[in-house]
Amino acid sequence: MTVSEHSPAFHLSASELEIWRGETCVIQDLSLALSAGEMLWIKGPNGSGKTSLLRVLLGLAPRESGRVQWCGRPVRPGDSEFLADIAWCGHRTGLRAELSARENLAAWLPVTGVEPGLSIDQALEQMGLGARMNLPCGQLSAGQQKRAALARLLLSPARLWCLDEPLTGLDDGGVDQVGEMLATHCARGGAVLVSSHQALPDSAGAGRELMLGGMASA
Amino acid sequence: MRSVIAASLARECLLAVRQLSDLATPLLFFILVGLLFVLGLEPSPEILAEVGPGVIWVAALLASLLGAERLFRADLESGALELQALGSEPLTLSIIGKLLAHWLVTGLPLILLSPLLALMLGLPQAALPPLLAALILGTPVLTVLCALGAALTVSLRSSGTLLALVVLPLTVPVLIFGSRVAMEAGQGGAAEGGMLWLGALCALAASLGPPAVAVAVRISLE
Amino acid sequence: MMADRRWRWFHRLGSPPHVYSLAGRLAPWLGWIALILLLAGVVWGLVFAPPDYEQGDGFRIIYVHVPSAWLSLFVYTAMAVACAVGLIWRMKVAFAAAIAMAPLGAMFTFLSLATGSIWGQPMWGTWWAWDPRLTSQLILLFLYLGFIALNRAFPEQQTGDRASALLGVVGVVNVPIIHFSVDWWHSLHQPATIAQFGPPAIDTAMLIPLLITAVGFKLYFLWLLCLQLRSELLYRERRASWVKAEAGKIST
Repeated sequence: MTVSEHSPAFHLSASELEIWRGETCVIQDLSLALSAGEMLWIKGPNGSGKTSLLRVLLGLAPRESGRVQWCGRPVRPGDSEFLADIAWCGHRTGLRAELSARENLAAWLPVTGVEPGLSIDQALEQMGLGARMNLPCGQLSAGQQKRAALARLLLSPARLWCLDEPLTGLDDGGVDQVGEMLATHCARGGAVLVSSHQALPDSAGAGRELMLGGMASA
Repeated sequence: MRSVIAASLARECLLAVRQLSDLATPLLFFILVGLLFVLGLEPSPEILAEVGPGVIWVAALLASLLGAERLFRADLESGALELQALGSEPLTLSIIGKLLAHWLVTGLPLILLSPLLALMLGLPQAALPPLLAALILGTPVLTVLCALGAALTVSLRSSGTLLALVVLPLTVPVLIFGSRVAMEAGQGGAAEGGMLWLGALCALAASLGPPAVAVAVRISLE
Repeated sequence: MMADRRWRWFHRLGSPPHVYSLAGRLAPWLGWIALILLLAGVVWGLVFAPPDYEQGDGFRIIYVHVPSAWLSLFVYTAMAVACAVGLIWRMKVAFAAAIAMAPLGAMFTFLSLATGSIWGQPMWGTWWAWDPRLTSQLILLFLYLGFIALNRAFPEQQTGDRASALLGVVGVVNVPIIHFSVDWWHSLHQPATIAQFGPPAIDTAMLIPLLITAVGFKLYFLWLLCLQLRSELLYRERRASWVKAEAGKIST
């Protein structure tokens, strides 16, 4: 299942965020907003708080102060309505090395609580893993594992994609394909929040940028 | 809802089958602890029969603890736990499946192995059925408590000893009721009270355990 | 509006600077009253109360043993309440209070164990008998130590707070079960040859000083808690402007 062409408008906003990691303040006084059809590229050097920011926006990690709102109401941790709208692809792939890509996705899918329009096999084939979907993930290369993790996006009906460094380990073809996926998702009325230290491919189309590593807003 | 539990159960069982050596370690440990107790004590039948139930329960407790340490680690490190927590279905459901599977692959084999240990310790025949019944009621409580400790300490680098410090005091009632039931039965008495208490603890652990473990997992993901 | 006003005290308890100054104002009162009560109770109990007809003067250790044993359970319960408040309302002060209470509770538990053991020497002829109450206290001590160890193990304060808070809440559910199971264990294990602590029918002349020391111990605990909480709050809020202002007051 993919986002329908006329999905209702939605809006993610964060204001005056302050995030600490241990004894360092990584993000201070940051505000951002994202609506349907938009892509926001969070960039910045290593340690500038890209991952921390995404985790705070998803309610996984605590923030020192500030507000995060989804469609005008505050986001609480474990908020199932909000989480149904989110597809997360973290820096870590979420794949267990002992299981095949197909088994990994089959175990994850029920957690999303939806019936996908696409089968797992189709999603893996689209990501170029048709021949390797039954191998234990431990035997796949880093790039192939990333592809298997990104196949989750094809299975999820979520409107907001949160991707943490989705391009690491991918070859040129893979990078282009991810770019296309992002562009298609935005064109269908979804939104993308993507952190990446490397430039997004041309195929991803234009999006707004948020530079971390200083005070910023977007 | 049921599909989440079933999928989680199936996944854990599959993972267990793929790493059979990990499954065997706590079981060997279980027998080994029994052996060490016998070696440390006098191997006279009277002493062994008297301390036997207690030894079996302590061994079961330590084996559960050993088995639980790795319960969440690989899922945390691979990022799979994060994905479960970010699903729109409650995390508690995945946890129920996980605990169920964990009990099936560690608790149940312990129960099946315990007659062997009972034989080694020369436990009277009459004590065996109550011992098994008590283990069936008690090991789920141990699974839940160990899982709770494991979930709380999974993000720490050296969690083994801390896990033991956190979990062991909480397991005291199970140890007491469990070993007393078998001991009384061996001496010809009946300790129904202990069995009823084990049943109550089992019900308590089964109902409150999974949500508590889910909260612990969320905390560890921070 | 009414509801707002009714809950204002609660919201103010969530504000670290407010609690810091409140604890600072309460501390001297608690400390002095505790000192007076403890002195009065101890002198009354040790000097004026009549000796026990069985144990002679040996029973006088109850003026330390019993209040500290009561407190050890009271503090654990209070700590668990603070933990639950912290988890539910994400209140930072509640976590600070819980972790400020933990070492104090452990201290009182240890004190009750040590005095129990000393009391056991003349009574039972041994320093340690597996008396159910002593055994429960020993397990309680481990619960406290596990709580403290878990809290301190995390590099992130907030995570450690929440993890140990959950453990505290689980622990408080477990404490009555542990107490019951240990009592049950003891009743089956040994017929009641060993007299239990706490005289069943205590003489009024012994009881009054006991109650005075019990209240004194409680106030002493609250005084220590105020001091402990203040330093805990200062440490936790070291990045906040109000702490910098406090520091400025001291240095000038």
